[in-house]
Amino acid sequence: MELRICHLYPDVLNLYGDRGNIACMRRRLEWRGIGCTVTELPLGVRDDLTGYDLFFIGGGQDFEQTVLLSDLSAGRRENIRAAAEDGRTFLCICGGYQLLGTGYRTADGQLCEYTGILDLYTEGSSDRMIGNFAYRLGAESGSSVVIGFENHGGRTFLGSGVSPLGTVLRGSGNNGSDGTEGVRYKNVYGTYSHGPVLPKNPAFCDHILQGALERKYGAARLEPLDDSAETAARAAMLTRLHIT
Amino acid sequence: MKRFRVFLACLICRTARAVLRLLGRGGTAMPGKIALKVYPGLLAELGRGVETVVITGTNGKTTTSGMLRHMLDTAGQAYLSNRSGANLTSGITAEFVTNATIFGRPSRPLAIIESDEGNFPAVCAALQPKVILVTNLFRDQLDRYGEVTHTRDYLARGIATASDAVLCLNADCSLTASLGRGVPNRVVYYGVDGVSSDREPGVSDAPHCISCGERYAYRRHTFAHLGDWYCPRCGLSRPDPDVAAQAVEPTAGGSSVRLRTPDGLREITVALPALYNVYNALAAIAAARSMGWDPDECCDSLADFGAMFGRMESLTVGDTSVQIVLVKNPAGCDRALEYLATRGDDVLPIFCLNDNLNDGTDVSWIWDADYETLFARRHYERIGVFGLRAGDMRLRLKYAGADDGTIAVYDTLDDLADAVRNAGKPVCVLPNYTSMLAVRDKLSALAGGGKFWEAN
Repeated sequence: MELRICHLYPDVLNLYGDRGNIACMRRRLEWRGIGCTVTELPLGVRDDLTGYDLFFIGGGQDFEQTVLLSDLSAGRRENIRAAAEDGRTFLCICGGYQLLGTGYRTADGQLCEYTGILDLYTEGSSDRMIGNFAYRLGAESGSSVVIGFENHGGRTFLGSGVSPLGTVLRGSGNNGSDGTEGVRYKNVYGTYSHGPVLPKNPAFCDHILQGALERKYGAARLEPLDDSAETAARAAMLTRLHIT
Repeated sequence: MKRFRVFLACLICRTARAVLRLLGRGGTAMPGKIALKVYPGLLAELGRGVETVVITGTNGKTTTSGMLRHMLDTAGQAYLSNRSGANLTSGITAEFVTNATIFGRPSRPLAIIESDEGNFPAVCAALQPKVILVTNLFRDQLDRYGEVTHTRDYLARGIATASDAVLCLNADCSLTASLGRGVPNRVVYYGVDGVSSDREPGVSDAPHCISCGERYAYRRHTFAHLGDWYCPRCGLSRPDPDVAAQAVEPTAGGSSVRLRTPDGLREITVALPALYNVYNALAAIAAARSMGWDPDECCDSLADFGAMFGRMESLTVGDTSVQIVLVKNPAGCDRALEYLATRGDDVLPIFCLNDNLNDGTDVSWIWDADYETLFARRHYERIGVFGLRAGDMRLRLKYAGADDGTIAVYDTLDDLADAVRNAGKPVCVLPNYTSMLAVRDKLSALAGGGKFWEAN
């Protein structure tokens, strides 16, 4: 078995250590004897995206994000939409998550159109939501508790065509008001969680990998791993956030 | 009335500082905070008539400030400086109070001031420096500044308050160099000409042209996003440096550099290892020249400048020799890891990670640092981790290829100290800021050294 991972826009969307998610997925596949290739697709490289099983899109700076929009409208948006509708797996963090939505309205009222791949939109605000946070994944995503670090000015609101990824336990999540965090649509996972999110949340990581393998091979069984280091790091943060 | 408030603010600040020291606490920020409450214009008042160089930037501030102090020490010049890394407005104010007469008149003619990026606009506006030195801009404390370009905006705001200041800017950092465009200030650029790394730029903190958005290309690349950059679309490019390293030869414990300045060529010795210290030396030389100090004496003094306060510092605990290398962001960490990987001897590496406010509460940057290369090149029998986020550090090392079974988590400073004493080999500690303060305090007490605010 093998998963082909595609890291989209590693040259632009590369803030906050999010590339650690790729290291995490790669190791957890390799430790189980499952093959893994990682292809980086920077700005401007043409590729129809049909040769990959799992896509990773990280967060970026506002300045860099505007560079991206012209590349997205030059065909990449349709490729991403097709791959998502086809049930391929996406993990999108923060700015990468926002980009899947219809747009971003800045604090001073300017509207920036995004890809419109998912039914969600984001509003800018001047006060950023920053800090360690936690949420419980919905049942379709495994129900485990995810801990991470959020750092965003944008407030994201979900439309009726998509589901939240989880329910906020500590911190702000999507918008600080409706108690939702992230998005889930088919095999697309969007979240505000940096950290990076996967290493300290091995159950979530394995859930994502399992889904990608099942789509490709019909059925997949992931051998349990020794997660004592992961459990210890989780325990320290869960205690600090008063989650038992 | 103003006279009286200055007097009162100074008095309170001195008293608070004295009391804190009696209690055995560092007390570098709090007394200044109170003094500024009493008289908000205090720093501007105390800075009047003092020729000041303000140093800011992500990495190298403290080492470069140390080099400048060393130049003045060598020349026997009196100056004031915020030396224990107290680089917020409050700490700087306290330093000026200490070095003023009780009526708020400066008692020293020169000041070397290290400023945190966030406080830089306020510090510049108050001090009206003669020279502003910006070392570089890397990702650091994103939880505080948001993004690298936001940090750049803070610096631009500070520069705008001080149009008489000479700007000394790192030409090899496109973000830093951009601060010199379109400003009325005189600008002195410095950079490295004679080095080219064979490694790709990798994750860059500034991949795209700040003017038109095109991806930068490099004629030469030194490390991180530093090098001889240019934009293939709009033609923006690295400014020609006025102070440059034409050639760099690594030597035992340092570098030999062929220096080019408007005065001509000469050889200098930098007594700290690694290329980033060559950048620090160039920065110090550019600033010293702009201050009008004797260029030859300044260059000569670099040959015997030792390590600074946790930034590659050595001490001996029992029979164990310990080196402390401060790491606080990916770019600096990669340099430290490269140093660790190339050390010829077997060492016990100890990685320390805290997430206090002064560290930045977001520790995710450790995943942007290249620990993978270290473990691809070196195997360690034992590795130590320590700090409020020791669990995250352990996880990072595990996913970078370290054998989790070799990683020891020290729960307390005493555990760490025991491990150091019983290491049976040299120890290399890589802490971030507040974990460095704690570890350094503990180990230097065992080594018979002083507490951190007494250090040079």
